[in-house]
Amino acid sequence: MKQKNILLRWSLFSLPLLFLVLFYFYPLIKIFLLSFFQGDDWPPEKLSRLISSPVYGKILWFTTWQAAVSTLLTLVFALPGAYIFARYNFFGKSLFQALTMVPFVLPTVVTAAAFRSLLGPNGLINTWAMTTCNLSLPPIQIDQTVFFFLLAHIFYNYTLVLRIVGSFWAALDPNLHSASQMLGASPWQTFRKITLPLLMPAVSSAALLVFIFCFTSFGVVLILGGPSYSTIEVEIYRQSVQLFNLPMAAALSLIQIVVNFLLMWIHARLVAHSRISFYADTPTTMPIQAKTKGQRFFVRANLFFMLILLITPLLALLLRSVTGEDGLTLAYYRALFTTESHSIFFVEPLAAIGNSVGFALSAMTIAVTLGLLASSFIASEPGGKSSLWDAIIMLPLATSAVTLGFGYIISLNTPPLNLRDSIALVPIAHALVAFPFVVRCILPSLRQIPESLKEAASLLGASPFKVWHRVELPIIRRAILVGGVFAFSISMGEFGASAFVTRPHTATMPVAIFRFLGQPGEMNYGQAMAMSSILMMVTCSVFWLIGKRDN
Amino acid sequence: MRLHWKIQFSKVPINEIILFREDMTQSDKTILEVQHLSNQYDDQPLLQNVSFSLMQGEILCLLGPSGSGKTTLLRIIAGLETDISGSITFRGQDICKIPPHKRKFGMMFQEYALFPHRTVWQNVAFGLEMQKTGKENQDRKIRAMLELVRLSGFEHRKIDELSGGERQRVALARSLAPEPQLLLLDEPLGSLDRTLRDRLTREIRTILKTLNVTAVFVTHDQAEAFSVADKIAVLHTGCLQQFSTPEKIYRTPANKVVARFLGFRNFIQGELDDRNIFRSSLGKFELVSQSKTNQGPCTLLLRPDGARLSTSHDDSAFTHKMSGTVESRQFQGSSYNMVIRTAEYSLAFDLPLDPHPPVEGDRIELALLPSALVLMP
Repeated sequence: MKQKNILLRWSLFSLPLLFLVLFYFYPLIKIFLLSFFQGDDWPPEKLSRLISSPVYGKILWFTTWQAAVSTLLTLVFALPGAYIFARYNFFGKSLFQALTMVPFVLPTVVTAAAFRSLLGPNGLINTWAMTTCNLSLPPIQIDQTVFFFLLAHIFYNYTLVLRIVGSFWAALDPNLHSASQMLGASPWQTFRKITLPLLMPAVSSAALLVFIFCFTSFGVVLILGGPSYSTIEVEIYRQSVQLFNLPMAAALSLIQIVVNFLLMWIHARLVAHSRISFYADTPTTMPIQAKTKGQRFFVRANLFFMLILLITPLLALLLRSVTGEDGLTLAYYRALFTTESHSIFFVEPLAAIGNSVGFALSAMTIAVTLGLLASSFIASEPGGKSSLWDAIIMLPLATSAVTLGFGYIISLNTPPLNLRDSIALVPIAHALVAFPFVVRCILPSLRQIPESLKEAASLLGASPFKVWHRVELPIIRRAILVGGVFAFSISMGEFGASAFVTRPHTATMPVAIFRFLGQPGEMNYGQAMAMSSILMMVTCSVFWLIGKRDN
Repeated sequence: MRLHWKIQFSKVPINEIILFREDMTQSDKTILEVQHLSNQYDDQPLLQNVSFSLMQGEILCLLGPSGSGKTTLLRIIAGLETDISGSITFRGQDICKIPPHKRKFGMMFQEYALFPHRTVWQNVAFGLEMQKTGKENQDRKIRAMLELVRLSGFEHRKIDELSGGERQRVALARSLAPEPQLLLLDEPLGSLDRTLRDRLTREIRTILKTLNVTAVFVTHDQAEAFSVADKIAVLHTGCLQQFSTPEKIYRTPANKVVARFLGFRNFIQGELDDRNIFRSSLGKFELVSQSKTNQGPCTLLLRPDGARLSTSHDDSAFTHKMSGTVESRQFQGSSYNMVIRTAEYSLAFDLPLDPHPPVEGDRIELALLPSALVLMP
């Protein structure tokens, strides 16, 4: 019986494992081999030469500090928000919660485009300021500066801190706070000595994830930072696609993977024993209405900040896409569907939309299937082993999409795995990126199902399959749904890997937007905005539809 | 039991634990005064016009069913709820505007609210750290506190390694260590099993009395309230129903609400005349020591402990007689719980094991103690 059980569980797990081996470890090993065992140099010499090169040292340093600063700023701005979501009830709370999610699932390219349309030289605020105050130069000049993409990083990762820390905070016993006060601790002392240490697992988990995402930031830096700024991820892209210096790109990928492996390992150890989740399953404490003037001000100030930070760029994007030189126009949208271009980079807009939705649906199916199998296996695995498998499955989250895309180019080009020109490569790459998110959604819910529930079901006569189908599956249904939405949105917005693996005729919407942005002229810029708006609306409506069905 | 405790405590250097303040030794002085206290939540009144006062060194129990407002009242005294009307004075000073961390009160929470990231020692130390007293002084106090609650040797345990009873004692030590002027306890034994509760109730009272701590204790369990309190305030739907000593509350509950909460069910409708004679379908009872203000139709409570088998008793104290048939007889260990059917009522009484009461269906004659007959307003 027990033997059979183990066999069954391993055969379930073999599918996700095989997927990881083929489409993650194999390409990575290929990168490693290409980087160090080509030519006559010994690997250590090559590596030391790379590190001693001032250019790449600078890139590494820049990547690290911008990620650290982004993380710090995101924490500073999002922690008060996490607090009000954890402790207070206010008008439109669930709506706000849904809205904060939108930036995270938006493609980086759209995020970048949105910020440009708000604060860029042709952006709304600058245009408005120049016409009303008769200025000859735009008053806000943060395009192509570091501030621009730091701002975008906060925008992008805000909800991550809000969700992870917020749901953890809501589960903290509010009496701990009262107990500390009764023992004579001031509010500040209470925060520093009680609340903060107790929040540390969630805060560091969120901080690590934000750091990892900023460390591997690609689209935002590439578009908002301009040619003078380069993270490792951007440099990998430049070296491989623009300069065709594959060994250099491989070496950079390796450095990035090593750093992220370390961070992910720390993260896996952090979340192994705590109930940290991407979304709150059930609130454990009752939030209260803000009562005093100070509390009300605090809640309102935070909500106002959220609106300004999260909503205005999106509105600006929409507005910009319908604003031409002579006022409101639908010319860009019309152009998307009619213009023909003979450039080899040209993507037929309608086809790009179709490609994106099709890829996203297949990527979602793959990621949810694999995620469900892997979560079921890990949840039933005892203690230490389970966190090892957990960490291994999280690895793709820590590896940049550009690295993966690059790995696919150099590894999946020989039979029997000649997928280089296959249409399947895009959804596979997307599924690999989305897979860890799905596991992170499903696994905590699965772990929370008490053993007694399953035992009760089997004593009532349910076979192991029936227990899974009639008890576990209905309980984690919502988690699966959320995981699916994550997978779909991630695929819709994925840019780094897509930039490598899409063929001209299979380009996705983010790729098309990037190409529009890369060409001069008001018309191309307007079309990029229009395409971004469509992408944003498609993503939001899928999110909204699934959320609605859920209720 | 008390003797046992005296032996226990003789080992503890009490003077080292609490440096008695001068005013702490004066015992007949009002220390806490609550006047016309009201509070509401979302337009729902939680407390309505509550007034009482407490002496130095007394233990007050706030007793009531869930939703009666007892925990709210405790949190208001603590300063954790601030949206109130009325006044609260402590040692003559209005404390309504003082934030909780400056009141120097201690509080023991339901489920204890021990800090999970700190050890037993660090939990007890927290309040002393806030006072910034010297390290040596701190260590000495913590050690003495842990000895007092019999947790010496547990200093470096983590909170999740402790049993329920041990956690309860850490929580007590933690709230007592900074020498609070007033100790507030919110259902401190709520989650423990019966036997442990009984033992810890006695322990808590002994410790509080040894240290001469003034305390307010919230509970929904009357047995716990009776054994721990000097004074009891019975709360129901936010109103103070009765404020008195445990004995008086049991002997003469102020109204039907209090009586029902104590588990009394024997209410008799009848008529009282000007010579203090109560007439009902059960017969005539002459009431003693009752005020003559409520003449006319009224309700009489027959306390379940005030009855004996009439046949066996010539005790002159049990003067009133009544009779009925035994509807049920339930053995309870130290007594029988009898439900007796009369023409109009079904009445419950506790009878001693001897003489043996009749079985179900049999006729029974009872003699009632006049002091167990309480007129309800």
